[in-house]
Parts: sequence; C-alpha cells; structure tokens
Amino acid sequence: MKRLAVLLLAVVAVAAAAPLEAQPQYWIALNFDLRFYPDGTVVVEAKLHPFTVSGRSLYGDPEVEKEMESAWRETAYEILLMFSDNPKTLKFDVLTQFARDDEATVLCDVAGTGRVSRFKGAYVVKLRVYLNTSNYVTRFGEDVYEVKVRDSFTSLDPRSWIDVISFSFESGVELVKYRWEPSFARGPRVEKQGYLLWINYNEQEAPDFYVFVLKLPEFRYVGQPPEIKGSILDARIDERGLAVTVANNSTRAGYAYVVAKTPEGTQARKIWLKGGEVRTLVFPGVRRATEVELWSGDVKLDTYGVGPAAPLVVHIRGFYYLIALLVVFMLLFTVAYRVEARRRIPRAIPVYP
Amino acid sequence: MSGRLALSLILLAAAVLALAVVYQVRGEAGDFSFTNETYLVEGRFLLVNENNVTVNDYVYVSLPQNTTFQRSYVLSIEPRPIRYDTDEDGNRYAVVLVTAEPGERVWIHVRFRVRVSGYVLYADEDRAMWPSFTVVKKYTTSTGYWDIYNETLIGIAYGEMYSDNPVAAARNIADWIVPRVAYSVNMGRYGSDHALVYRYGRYEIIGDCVEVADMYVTFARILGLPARTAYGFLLTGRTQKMWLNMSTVDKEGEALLSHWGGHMWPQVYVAPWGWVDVDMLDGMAPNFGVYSARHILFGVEETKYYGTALTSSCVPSYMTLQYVEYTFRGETP
Repeated sequence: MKRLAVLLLAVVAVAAAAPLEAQPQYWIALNFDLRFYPDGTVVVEAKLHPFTVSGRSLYGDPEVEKEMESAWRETAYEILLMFSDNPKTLKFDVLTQFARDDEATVLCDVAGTGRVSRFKGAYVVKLRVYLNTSNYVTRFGEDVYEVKVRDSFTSLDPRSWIDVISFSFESGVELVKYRWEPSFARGPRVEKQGYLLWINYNEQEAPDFYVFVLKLPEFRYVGQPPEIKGSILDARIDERGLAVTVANNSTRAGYAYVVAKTPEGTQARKIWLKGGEVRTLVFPGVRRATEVELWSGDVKLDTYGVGPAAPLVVHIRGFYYLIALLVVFMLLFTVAYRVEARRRIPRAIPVYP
Repeated sequence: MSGRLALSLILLAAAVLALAVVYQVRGEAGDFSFTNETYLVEGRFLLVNENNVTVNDYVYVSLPQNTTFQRSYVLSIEPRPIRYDTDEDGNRYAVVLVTAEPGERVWIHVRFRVRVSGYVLYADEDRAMWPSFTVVKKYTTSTGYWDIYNETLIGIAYGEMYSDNPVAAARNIADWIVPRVAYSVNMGRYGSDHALVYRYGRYEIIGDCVEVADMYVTFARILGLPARTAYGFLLTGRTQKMWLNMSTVDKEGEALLSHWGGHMWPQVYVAPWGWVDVDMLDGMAPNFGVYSARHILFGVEETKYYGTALTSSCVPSYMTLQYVEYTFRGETP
C-alpha cells in the first residue's frame, strides 16, 4: 500500500512529511503478478487501486485517475527498482503503459484491521524486464542463479509495501529454493508447483526482499554493460606516483574504472571519458604496482603490466626522517667521540717523573 | 671502550627509529583533534487519527545512529517499540504500533543520549589514497537525485574541481560550492539536475541544505569520489529546543530556521581516513573534515535511488503527524 497526496520525499530542512493542501489524501493498493521465463525475462503486471482510508474506492475518480496516469513513469521506475539499484541499467519493454481493467480484483487490508477488502477494477502498468543486466542477480552455478526481488516501495518509504504479490515460473524455469528477508516477515500464503503467492496485511508482515534460486537454462547473464570501449596505453611510476594513460576507443562518452593493483592493495578511480579521449591520471603516492586494469560496467576492458620495479623515489616525508636521523647520528657520534677522547687523556703515559 | 661506544650508538639509533615508526603508526588518529559533547535528547510527536475508522498504525521513528564519531543510546520510547529494524543503508529505526480511534490524539515520546565527537581532520594530501574498487563501485552510482550523467555537471567537475589527489578534489568541490549557495528553504527536493541554475552570469545552487548536499555528492561521484548524504540535526548551541507545527510549516519560509534545525550534509570517502564530513553550511565554509559537535546524525543515504523517507523524525502510515518537538541538553560540564 502506498500513501499518496503526501510528500513522501521528506524535506530535511523540515524533516517531516508535510501535507499538501487542497488535495485528496488517498492510498493505493498494490497488487503485483510476476511471471518468470526461461530466457531470464520477467513480465511484471502492477494492478493499482486508489482508495480512502475509510475504504471508499476512488477508482474512476477523474482527478485521481488523471494523477495516476501522469505518474505511470514513476510506477514503471518502481517496478524496475524491484530488480536493480539503478533502473537506467536495466533493459525493459513497456507492454501496457497505463490501462483500466474494470474486471480486475485488487486485495488490500484497508486500515490495518487484519481484514482483506476486495476492490473491483484496477489501473494496470505492465513491463517486461530483462534480468541479464540486473545487479540483483548472482550466478550460483551452471544455469543456476539467485534472483532478488525487492519491495521497492518499502525501500523508499518504510510505511509502504506491496499488498499482494504472486510469482509464477513458466515451463523451463525450475524454482530450486526460495526465502525472504527479513526472516520475521511472513511467508507465502499459497505455495504450489511453479507458483507462490504472498498476501501482506501490513508492512511488518511484508518481506523487503523475495529471494529465489532459479535454474534458467536459456539465460545468459552479462552484468552491467560497459559504457565505453577502451584500452590502457601506458602505466608507469614517476615522481607523481602511478601514472596511467587510458583511451576511450569508442565515439560515445561514459564512465570507466582504472584499478591499480599494488602490494599494499588495490586503489580504484572512476573517470568520465569523452568519445575518443585519451587521459592520463595519477594515483599519487603509489611507488610500486604490479598491474593496472580498465573496467567499464562489469566488463574488464584491458590489463596492463606496470613492469619491473620502479626506480627508487624518496618520499619527501621519509626523506626528512632520514635527514633527521643522520643529524642525530652525527651529533651522537661527535659527543661520544669527544667523551671518549677526554677519557683517553688520563691514560696517557706521564712524561714527568 | 670503543665497543661500548658502538653499542650505545646502536641502542640510541634503535630508539630514534622506534620513535619514528610509532609516529607513523599513530598517524591516522593523530590526524584528528576532537571536541566531545554529550546530549540528552528528548522528543515528542503528536499524531492524530483524522480518519473516521479505527486504525492500527505502524509508526516509524528515526533514531540517532552509532558511528565512529557518535555513540547513541535509546533511553526510552513510549509507547514501547514492537521492533527495531535496519534499512538498506544500515540505518536503525524503531517501529511503534499505535491503535487510535477516530479523532484520537496520540503522543510518542522518545529519550536518547548521544555522545558526539566533533573533529578537525588535518588531512595530509601526501597520504591520501583512492579507495578500493568495491567501495568506488558502490558509492559512485547515479541516483534519482545525484545524476552523474548530466554533462553540464560533468563539464564543471572536470573543468574546475578535478585533481589526481582525492583530498584536493574533495576540497575543490567544497571551495566551488560555498560561494555559489543561494540559500532558501525548499519544501521539496530538486536533485542535482535542478538545484544548479545559471543566472546573473554565474552558477548558483538554489535551495537549502538538501540541495547543497546533493550537489556535493553528485560532483564527488562524477569525479570518482565515493560520497553520500548524512541527515540529522545541526544545533546552534549546547542546549536548544526545536519544534514544528505541521499545519503551518509550508507557509513559514525562512522563519522556520528560527525554531528548527533539521539538517543534511555530505560525506566523502577518502582513504586512509574513511568517511569525512563536509558540512559547508555550518558557518558557510568549505569545512572538509571540520565537523562540529553540534551535529547529531540520524542516518545516511547511500544507495537508494530516491533517498529515504526516514529523513523525517516520525513517519506514521494512516495517522497524521501534527507536531514535532525536540529538546537537546548538553551534559558535558
């Protein structure tokens, strides 16, 4: 359930949700159907039903309908955020931008009373999401992947949650096992072959994450795609540190990571490279390095050996220590030598009888 | 005798070397000077059931957090929380269940003790390092409020703030932002795409602490510096009362600042020191690594695409928040 007509994105200068005047305060029941396919796509159908806390349906209310239709893109982003931290990296198709389904039924516990109400009619937004670039997918083994589905509404606002969510696994998709987070949330109300259904009466019962281990034989996970094509032209230690020259070999601009591997560990820099740009960047203070890597997205573009041991470069702070030590040594030596010289005098053979 | 002389010299040299090594080891802690303050924080929130039905409402209460520079203790929360929970960015909060009849008013009372270590970081640029690949990947992503693909911002960042040294880059960003802040209380959140405007022949950052923090984090992430926002309160003195009347808050404008100190500021990650606070609005100065003990941190925004609603002190679901009040009492003699 999602509360609308209230500033959800609280103002920190005010640090509290401020009510907007002259707008009806209403809630939206959120029912989701997710259908997984063997090629790693998921079709997500969101069925939304607006209502007042007294349980009065606002489905068909022209003002509310117009407002919800104009917010379809936001709903689409919320769907994408179920599968990724960054919706811009996910490929998706809009199957239904915004449509009325007068025959649909939407379930919701209206006022936290423990009773589910049935609302007739739903506004529908439907997307096909490609999981091959999702950062919520982890490869477990041959054709086996862990797929996390986040309740993106709870993530944004702790008082929001998905009221009802079903997961269907098409022929060719094997559900190996599943769990949910946090563990104190409730499990599915319905569990049968290839189908799971959660009915969440309140946010505390609703999982924040639904986690599935799936066998997806037709799925090829690629991770976050690279933004550029690039290479390392040079990497060497000089008086500034480790200087690395990289080139963007593509015509479009984008981010890349330069990773320096040193005996002390790795250091990484994210840089923006224009199309065709060649840039030299420095890891200051790095005196030894074995290898430099260039990444973009989840793809390693190039590796470059830094070469033989770097010439000795005296670090300025170390140099001062060395000078100080030498001065101390010289002073000590001078004092000790004089003391020793004086003590030698009495031991000299007397020249007088 | 010359043998004793040589031995003495060796022992002395060893002592000098040991002192030098000790100096290096204690370097990271020695880079900070601290000012500690302990506060007793008492808060109360008035909730009203404006619905014509009885509601069972889960109310989410933000808590002061534990960090390197802050230790927080919950002394009491009434009604007692049914649960303490943690959001995706690691922020702890309390969940209070309230049942209210139509028209009923319910107060939630909280008491915390918070020990804050204000600090000044003497960051030697010669010792600064870029972080690990994992840290860079996690904390430099683009979000709804931090658009690192905005080419105008990229041009400014690489043209006017870039440095190969992470400390210098972090300082450059703050130096650039401070003279361009055109402060005004903003009831929404513009995000980096809308907080920076070009007018009167120069760039200006319009909005309040949220916009300033968002701009810093965006520029930092563009330059590959891990960055996030922190939120909580900035006090003007050791003892202070703050309040908000939610029915008038959107009409108050700058007058709000006379009785409310909700605040947001950026943090940037620079090895070997870790997360460094950069509160440019505390005295309107760059303030890289200058963090007064008048800050009380209630959470951070790191990875969530649209930030978090937990920046609010108290988040009811069905009921309406009408009034918020905090009293901070400095306890350090």
